[in-house]
Amino acid sequence: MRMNKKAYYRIADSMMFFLVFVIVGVCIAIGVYVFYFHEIDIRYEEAKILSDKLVDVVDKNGVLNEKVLDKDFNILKQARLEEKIIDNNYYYFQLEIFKNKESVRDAFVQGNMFFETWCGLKMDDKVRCFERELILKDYNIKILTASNQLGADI
Amino acid sequence: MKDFVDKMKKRGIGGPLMENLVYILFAVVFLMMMFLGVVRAGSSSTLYEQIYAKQIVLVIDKAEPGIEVKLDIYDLYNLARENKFSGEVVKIGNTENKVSVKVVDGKGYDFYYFNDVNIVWSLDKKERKLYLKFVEKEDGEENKGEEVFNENE
Repeated sequence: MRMNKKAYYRIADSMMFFLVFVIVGVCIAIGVYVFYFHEIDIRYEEAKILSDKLVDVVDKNGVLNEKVLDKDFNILKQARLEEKIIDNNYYYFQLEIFKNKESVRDAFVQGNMFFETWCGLKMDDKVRCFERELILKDYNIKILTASNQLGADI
Repeated sequence: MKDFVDKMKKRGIGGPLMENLVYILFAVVFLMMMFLGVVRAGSSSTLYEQIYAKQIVLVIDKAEPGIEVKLDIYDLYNLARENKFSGEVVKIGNTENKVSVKVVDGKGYDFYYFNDVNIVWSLDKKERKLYLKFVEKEDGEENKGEEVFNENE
């Protein structure tokens, strides 16, 4: 079988031409991305603010706000948290109240439930968490908050 | 098709000249695309949009009703002027709980806050400041929607 050498070299030339374009393009894109890419991550601060807002509700000058123990207590309203935003998969909080190591009421839980597991596994790339424990006289309060709102890519 | 190629060859179109022209055309298009991409990525406008949107959201999330805040957004106005952008650089949507910052034509940068308060806000273009006033929501009241007051040109 005879090979059409002229045609082969013509095609090889074009292929090399495009290959060089692709290599140069990819290199420039990687360089620009590394040099200019900045991500401002405020997830930890958001989780902390969320936790502060919950503390403001349960802590009444160093003692537990007894209203929190009511079955119908609306913690979202009292902490001034917008339900639709908390439930949009960016946030999570869990607040548990203990007395003598026994839970005194159902935990307040809101938001993306996966975050609890991810916080336990310390998956910082997926979610940033803030955990704190308060002692208000006879009560122990455990608060876990998490945020995963990174915003759009630049 | 063969007729068309023959015709082109007869007219002197095609062959090495045509090949080179196509190569040059591809090279120019490629270089222009790379140039635009680098210019867009190299501009700090998008980064500033992100920084300011997130800072404003943190202020809003931390705020309590009754608080009034004055934020310096001098850099945002400067960037908007450099980019010849004449729209509003900051927008706060009470209904969507969203802060939008935009200093260049495009979609801008949006970020959401979770604080359930009504925000009365205004932009002072003269002093280049953003005024925020946090108001308690009445029982059962829906978000009022943004309310702009005292916008100084």
